[in-house]
Amino acid sequence: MTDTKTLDCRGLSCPLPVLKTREALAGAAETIVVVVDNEAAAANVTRFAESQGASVSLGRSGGDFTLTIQPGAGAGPGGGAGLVCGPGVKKNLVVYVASEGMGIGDEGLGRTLMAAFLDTMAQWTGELSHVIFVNGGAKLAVKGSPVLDQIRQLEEMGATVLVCGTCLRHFGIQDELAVGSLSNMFAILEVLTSAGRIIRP
Amino acid sequence: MLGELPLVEHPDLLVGRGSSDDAGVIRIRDDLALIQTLDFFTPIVDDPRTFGRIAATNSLSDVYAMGGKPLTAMNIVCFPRKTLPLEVLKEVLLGGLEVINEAGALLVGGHSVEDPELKYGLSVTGTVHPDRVVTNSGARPGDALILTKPLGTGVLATAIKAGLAPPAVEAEAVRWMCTLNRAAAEAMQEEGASACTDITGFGLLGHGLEMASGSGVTLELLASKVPLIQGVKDLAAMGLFPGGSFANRKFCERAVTVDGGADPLLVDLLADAQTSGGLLIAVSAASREALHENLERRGVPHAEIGRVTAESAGRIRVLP
Repeated sequence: MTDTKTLDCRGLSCPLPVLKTREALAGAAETIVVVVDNEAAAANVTRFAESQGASVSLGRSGGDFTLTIQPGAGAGPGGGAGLVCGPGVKKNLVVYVASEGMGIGDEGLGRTLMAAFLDTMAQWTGELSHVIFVNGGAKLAVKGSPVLDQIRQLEEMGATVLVCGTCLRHFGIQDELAVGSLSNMFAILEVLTSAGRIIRP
Repeated sequence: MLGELPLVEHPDLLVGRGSSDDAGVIRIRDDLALIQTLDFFTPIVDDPRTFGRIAATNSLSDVYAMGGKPLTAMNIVCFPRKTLPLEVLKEVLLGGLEVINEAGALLVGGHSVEDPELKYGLSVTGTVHPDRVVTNSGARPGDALILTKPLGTGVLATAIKAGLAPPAVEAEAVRWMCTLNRAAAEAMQEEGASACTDITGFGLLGHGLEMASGSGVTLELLASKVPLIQGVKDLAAMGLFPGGSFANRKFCERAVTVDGGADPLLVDLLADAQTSGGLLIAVSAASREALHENLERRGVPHAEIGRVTAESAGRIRVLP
């Protein structure tokens, strides 16, 4: 496949070149050439493409920048078996915590397991992008929770921690949030739909 | 551009255009000086009341950055009467008034002109004791550098334009942009600071460089210690930097040394153009602990992000 799609983004200011590249790159297997006329757009488009697992080479002619974008393996329908590895791969692992404990059976055991899970997760490397706490899980992110340190550690590793605001209000603990940021269904759905893999302890 | 205009000098002019400071300061009595500043800009959020709050918070900030207290404020308005209902303007002005009231200042008037694009801000007059003016030129080697708000509003504004800002991230950024630097300034005045500037359009690197040049020192910044608005790093990784932040990065390049190992994404975020950012305070080793405690007591989130060194004048060194 040697198809090439060219996007002329000259005259457009940020964030438009990124948005147009995003549109073109979605599900694309062919090479995409993006032409921009300012360095800011060139840097932003490069960053965006690389965040999507694509490789980018840059050429210059006059005041124009030509970015040749090769979608990464797994980014398009013709791009392999969907296996992604190596540096530059998008962080796309999401942990979705929907209860205070882990598993069904014994409540006390469930809590112990959840603490052990978060503890182990915090020693995981790399690709965790978000941790989401909903329903009973939201109680883990408030003052007095025994796993605050573990969640903070996940945050320090670069994961974004989202806690369901409706859930906190339901339990009357909306002012007790101790880690992460308040979130809503829209944001949570956005994260879940764009996740590569979702783990639900 | 102002550099091309002749400088005005006067024995009572304590801070004028000669320094790249946040506001002008003139002594009117031995124990009283006036601070004058103005700022206005185009909307960065859709909600008019929120925009009014952000713009007013941003305008008042220059007075706080000089260690002063705002006294009076006047509205500056550019409004497209033909395309926007007057109700929008009312909301913007109400938002601004809420913040002026919160700051304990008085709204005493204003001026509006018709313009194709909505713009809003304030002209603010504040007061300070002439001996207590905090400029950006007093940082000394050995000082600690403290920042009172996280960075990332430039990236966030671009993400909002792109329709890619998660509502939770936007809400957090708005909360920061609507937070007055009042408590931070009061803490700084109580404990004594060597230098201060607020972080706005030139980003931490740009305003930091102004402090470094004005003080004849090097600022050493620890990239990983600089607080970021939650979620902004993900947006930055998607290439959502505004043109202004990129221009900041280019402009600062010659005077900034980045040590290997510093995350390039973080370094770019240090140049992110901020709206209504926090205060960057240089504080002596002797007062550092007291300032931390004072800020803590007032509930002002803050982080120590580096230190001042004598390495060379007018430079920034970024460490991992």
